[in-house]
Amino acid sequence: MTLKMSFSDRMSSRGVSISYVSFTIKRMWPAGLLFFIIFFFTMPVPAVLSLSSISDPITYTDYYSSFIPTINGIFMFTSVFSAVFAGCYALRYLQSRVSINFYHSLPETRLSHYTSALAASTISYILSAVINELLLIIVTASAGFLKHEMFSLIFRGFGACAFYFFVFLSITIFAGILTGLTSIQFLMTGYLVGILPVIYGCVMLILDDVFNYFDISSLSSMNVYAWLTPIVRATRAIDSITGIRKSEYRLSYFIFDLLIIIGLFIGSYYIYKIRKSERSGTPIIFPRVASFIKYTLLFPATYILGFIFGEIGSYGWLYFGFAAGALLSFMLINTVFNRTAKAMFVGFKGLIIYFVLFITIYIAINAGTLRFIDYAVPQASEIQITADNRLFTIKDKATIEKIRDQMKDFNKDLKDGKAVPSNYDVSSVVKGLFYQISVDKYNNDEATRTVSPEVTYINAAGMKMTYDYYGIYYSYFSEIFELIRSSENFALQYIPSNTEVEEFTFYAVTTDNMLDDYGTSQHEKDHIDNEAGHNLSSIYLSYGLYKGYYEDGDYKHFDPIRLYGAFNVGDSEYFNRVSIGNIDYRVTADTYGTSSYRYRSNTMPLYFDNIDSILSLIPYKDENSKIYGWYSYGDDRVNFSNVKKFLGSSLEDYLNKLSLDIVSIIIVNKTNENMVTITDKGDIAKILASCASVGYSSIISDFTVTHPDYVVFINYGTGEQATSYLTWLLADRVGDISDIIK
Amino acid sequence: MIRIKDVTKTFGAIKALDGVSAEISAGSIYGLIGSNGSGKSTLLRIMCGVFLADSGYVEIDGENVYENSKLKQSIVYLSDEQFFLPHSTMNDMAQFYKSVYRSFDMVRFVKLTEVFGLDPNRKIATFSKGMTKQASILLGLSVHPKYMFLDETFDGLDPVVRQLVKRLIAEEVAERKMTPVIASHNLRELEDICDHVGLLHQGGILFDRELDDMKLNIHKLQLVLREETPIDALSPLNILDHSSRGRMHTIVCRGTTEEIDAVILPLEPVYYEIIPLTLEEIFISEMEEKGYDFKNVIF
Repeated sequence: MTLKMSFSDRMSSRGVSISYVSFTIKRMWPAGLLFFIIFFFTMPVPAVLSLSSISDPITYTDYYSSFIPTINGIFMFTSVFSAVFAGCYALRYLQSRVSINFYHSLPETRLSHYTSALAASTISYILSAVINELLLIIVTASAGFLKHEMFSLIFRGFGACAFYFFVFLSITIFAGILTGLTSIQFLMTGYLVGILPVIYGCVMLILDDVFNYFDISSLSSMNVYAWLTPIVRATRAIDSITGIRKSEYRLSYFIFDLLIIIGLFIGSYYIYKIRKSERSGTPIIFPRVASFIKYTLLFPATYILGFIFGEIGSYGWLYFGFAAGALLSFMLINTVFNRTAKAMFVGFKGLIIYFVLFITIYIAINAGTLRFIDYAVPQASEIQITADNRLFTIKDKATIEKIRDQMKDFNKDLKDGKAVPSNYDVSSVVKGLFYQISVDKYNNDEATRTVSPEVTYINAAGMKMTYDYYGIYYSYFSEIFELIRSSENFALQYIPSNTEVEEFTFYAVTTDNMLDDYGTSQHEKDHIDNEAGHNLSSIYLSYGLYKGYYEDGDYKHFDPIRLYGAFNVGDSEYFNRVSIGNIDYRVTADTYGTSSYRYRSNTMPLYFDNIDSILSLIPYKDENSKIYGWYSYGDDRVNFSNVKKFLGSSLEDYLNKLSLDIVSIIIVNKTNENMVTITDKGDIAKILASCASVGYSSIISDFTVTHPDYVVFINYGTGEQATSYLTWLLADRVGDISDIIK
Repeated sequence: MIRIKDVTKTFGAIKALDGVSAEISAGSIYGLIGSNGSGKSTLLRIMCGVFLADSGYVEIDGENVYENSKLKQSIVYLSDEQFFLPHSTMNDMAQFYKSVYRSFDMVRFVKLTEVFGLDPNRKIATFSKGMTKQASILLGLSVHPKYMFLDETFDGLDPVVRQLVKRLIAEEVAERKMTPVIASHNLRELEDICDHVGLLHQGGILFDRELDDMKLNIHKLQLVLREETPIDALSPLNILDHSSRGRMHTIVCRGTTEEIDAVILPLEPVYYEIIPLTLEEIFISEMEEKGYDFKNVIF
């Protein structure tokens, strides 16, 4: 008769002693107690205090939208802390020769020791975390807040934090196996978590410097860093659970981190098996690992100190900074690795070789000798140019060559200092960053500028390069734009001959329902107008024109052109042109054809000429029809009767309403420095109709042409509320107000 | 039985053990002699599975000891630097030992704490150096191991406790056939307990012999010859060391007592006595024969 092996016996046959594992778990109680205390005072206790606050008790909405997300965020932080602490605490026996001699002489395999450490770390965290989560749920339920969504939020938050506990525990355990001192284990954990983004950041700084006036923010966006460090992924994991912001946490992150957990836990064990006990007490167990770490740390240290010196001093100090950074970090790392300052010059020959390589590569990049990097001038291959957020490809070789030459000349002018970008970022106007300007001062450069479009191309290395938004004179781009406009691809991109209008959708954002439930999102509370439009904070009406085309009998679908029109209602700290333009030209398929005016008008701000015609296009049966919101919390309804009531029956009516809040408009003629101050409301309305619009929700289209001679200051409010906004007159509308300006 | 075969161990540029081979019979008390840095602790750590030899192997009862948890149930290693769980008492350590060693005898443990006069509920961190040593010894003895590796164990113990420990070890050997391997640089400590000694020097075993054999075959004589007896008359003896003071000769020579008597007695010496050699004297003689200055070897 075969006796079934007990679990304990099976584990023993694999060299894992259950009694030893149990004993180790029990010995880890101080860590578990510490975690419990931390979680207790950061989860249920604040919940009780917030809910029972007599003066200002927390509401359900605040609890859901703010309090629990904050608790989840803190819990993520404490979970990461717990993982690092637990990993260092559990493996401390490996970090001393005396203790490792004792433990490895015991009748336990390394698998048993390793399993015990992992089990003890896990259980000390899980028990503490689960108990405190239950307490938090109990507190939430006792306040009557435990609805399904709330429970889901708490539960998902716990899941995310527990998952990232294991991610950071696996990294800390891996660090502990590679190192021989607890302090170095802690530093190694930081190294493993942070070295990739640091190195990448330095590379981006170099490229940023090399590529000068190009905007390479796509390469240094947080999406890139998310792959380089679990800190960003953990932050996104917890942020995405709140649902208030668009979720940036991808399934691929989860899979990646799951592979990290599995790979590092298994890999750590196998490295433990070959880890020499006699090396305990030395900072890094494996000498080759020490060398690798040394040189990966040297690179950012070298570059960062050089960068700082270069910024503070002149360019020559950059190289001095490189040398200082390399030498100082080399000495420091050697001292830490060898635990004595006497060893700070060990391996000095390696430093020399490294530094020579570093300088050689750095100079080569800056001199443009590395062929795989396209230095600001595209190859004469297909160039993709974006303008006005529309991506199209110019295939005509002759056009490409001309564009290329233009860009080359332009870039040379920039480098030679002939083209000097101003400090003023034009895009900030588009984004509506307001600033106070004294009416006595103005900036000449701003007035002569047009909004630079985003000219982007794909370089030989496959990098998407975009010329930065600087205050570049329009003239520098004028020939390029002419080339773009005249290219067949450009025209076809807008209105291919076989295009049909497929769909016409309105989007609305931030309605009264959302305000009630979730508070303001991207709009500050002071946008809410209590008097007029109090039901609305802001409406963005944008329509997407989905184009399709037929190819060989099959219907193909382009990306939509999105033309935005927006206006603010409510508290009129902002004003805007209502901007949905000559839709008649666009939406009716049978009037859809090629016209130079048409695609010219596509690139102009869209002006609201007839609200009724706009509203008649909204696909609704009654004024309470469903409108899709950008942030989908279900059905958001816009009450268009309120829109009409606020906007008025016509553009003129709308502008008249806006002008009521404007104290004066000052128009400065830069050629003769004459200033005209307009206070008449009717004239103000006329001027508003002739200005380029400003404001967060406005759009200055990419090819807006402003009149170079005039600067317009719009003075709004009085006293402490006084604000002045800067804009320009539209070149083709100056004539409309010639009687007002001089 | 412990079989050590061609064990080599290097730490960086330092060769701690260089092709060490030895056999330790079960039930013998083996003394591992060597100066500081000779490789004693390294060899013990390889024997109990803490270190892995770079080459060669250690077999205990025919099995490789490294990562052999089953075999290590019968091995206790008492390091020269004791380790105890942080903030633990003797009782805590006993519980720990009980969780890892199936043969840990709680009754024996309690009895030994009484014998040594240690309070089992007192934190070990408050013990003196000698007391911590005693604590580690009594915990080890409570396991009733088959093999016990002791590294400089008698250092720090007062003479009374020293004798007590030796007695306890001898009892374990007699009753349970325990095989202790005692590493020390102090020959006098090992003299009255070991029955087999091995000398480690610069990573190698210089010699490895049973103590009785050594004592049987090497003797120290003191004699005064008659005036007419030439010194050459002593030439048949296998002399290792000869010193004289006036007419008093002190000779260390190899051979049994019968063989030595057969040479000396016919000479009718005025005075003749065979006096016992200490282990140290035996070693000195052996080493000098091999061409080593003993003082350089041990001190």
